[in-house]
Amino acid sequence: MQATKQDVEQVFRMVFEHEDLEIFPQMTANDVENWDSFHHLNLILALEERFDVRFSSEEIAGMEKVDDLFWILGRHGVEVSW
Amino acid sequence: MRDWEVMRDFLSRNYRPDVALCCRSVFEWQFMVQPDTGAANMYCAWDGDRLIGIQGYIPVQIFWGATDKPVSGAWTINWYVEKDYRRGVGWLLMRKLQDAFPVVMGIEASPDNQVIVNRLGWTFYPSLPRYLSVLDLEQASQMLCPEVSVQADLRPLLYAGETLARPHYLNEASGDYNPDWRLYPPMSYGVIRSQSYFGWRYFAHPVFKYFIATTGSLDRPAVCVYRIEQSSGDFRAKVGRIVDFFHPIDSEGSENGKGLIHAVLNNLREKGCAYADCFCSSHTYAQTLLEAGWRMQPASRQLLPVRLSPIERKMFTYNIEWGVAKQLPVPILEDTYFTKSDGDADRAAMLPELLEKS
Repeated sequence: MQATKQDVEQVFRMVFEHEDLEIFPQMTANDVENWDSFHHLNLILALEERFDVRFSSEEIAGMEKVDDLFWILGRHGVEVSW
Repeated sequence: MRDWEVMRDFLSRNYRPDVALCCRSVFEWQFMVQPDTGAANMYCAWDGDRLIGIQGYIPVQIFWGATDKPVSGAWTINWYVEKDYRRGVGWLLMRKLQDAFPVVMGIEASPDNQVIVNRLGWTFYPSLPRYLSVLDLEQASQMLCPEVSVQADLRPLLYAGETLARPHYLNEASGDYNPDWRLYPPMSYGVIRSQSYFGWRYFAHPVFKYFIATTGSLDRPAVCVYRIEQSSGDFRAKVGRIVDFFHPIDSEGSENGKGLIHAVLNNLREKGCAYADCFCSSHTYAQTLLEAGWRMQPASRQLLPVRLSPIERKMFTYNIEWGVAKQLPVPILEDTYFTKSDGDADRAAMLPELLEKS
């Protein structure tokens, strides 16, 4: 499956209710004001739903920045291009 | 356990210094610590050398939809992450548990945990039904919760039954206990009350003394498990805590069940208990209790205390919840068999040496 940065960005914008949010490779939770545990949960679940994947707990723990997320999506057959 | 001091410090800091789990034998029993490896049924989250989160669990064999096919399940207990680290660690620990078990169940979830399990799409019930039987009206009258009337609320619960039934009590050596679970359809969703489960849950308990009373043959018994708790605080009294009650649902089984519960109540009354309670999700077994004179506590009112060490005269309920793998059925509460025996609902309120002895 092919996806774009915009596809992933849409999910971020929906979860954080931030229309202008732009993701970048080194982005972390510290870069978004209301990125708390509940939003983190919502983000992961929304990504799983959007791309029809299920992340393992180890993969979730390994997602420190957005680039990690893209890499993990790739492991699930979702190739995301920047 | 290699990191026992670290664990005890975590528990003491984040629960209470006198929480029962700070007693090593209680911890080792609760989390089934392996004596040779020190491994415990618990996922831990660390920040360097600092323990910052735990997800304890009790692995159990359950029935989930039929009483002829066991399934692996787990109770989540002691699911806690320190406040400074609540950026997804909590539910990550839960995800790890759900990766390992197709059915994960919880009881008495905190408000923070409820938010997570609701978002994960779990089934959630705010209150496990409670049934009451007053055995000594004078004593029970001293233990009322606010706005409860002795005449209007307690007197209808007064047990006046008699019985000639004489239960057989199981012990660790009772090898003949081997129910044919096909005769117990109301237990199609819940932990299998097997001999091995009883062995850990009741006979090996490091604090409480449980009595496992049965009537009928041991391949199809009626079973009632209870303990006697001594209250502390502003009034001292004994209370009978029924933590398991089930029987075959044919006519013989129902009669054995009724006879058994009468026998247990008579026994508790003879031992001077003020009242007895029983939390049970099963609609079927609730009917047996009601036919034996028990009454269901109203959902919105607390008549008699649940917490007794010390007595707390206020509303207390056990919420119950479960998350299941996609291919498995999702029952309604009335079709399940969950009781106060499950999870860690019936736990010691504090360090064993601080508890009142009955």
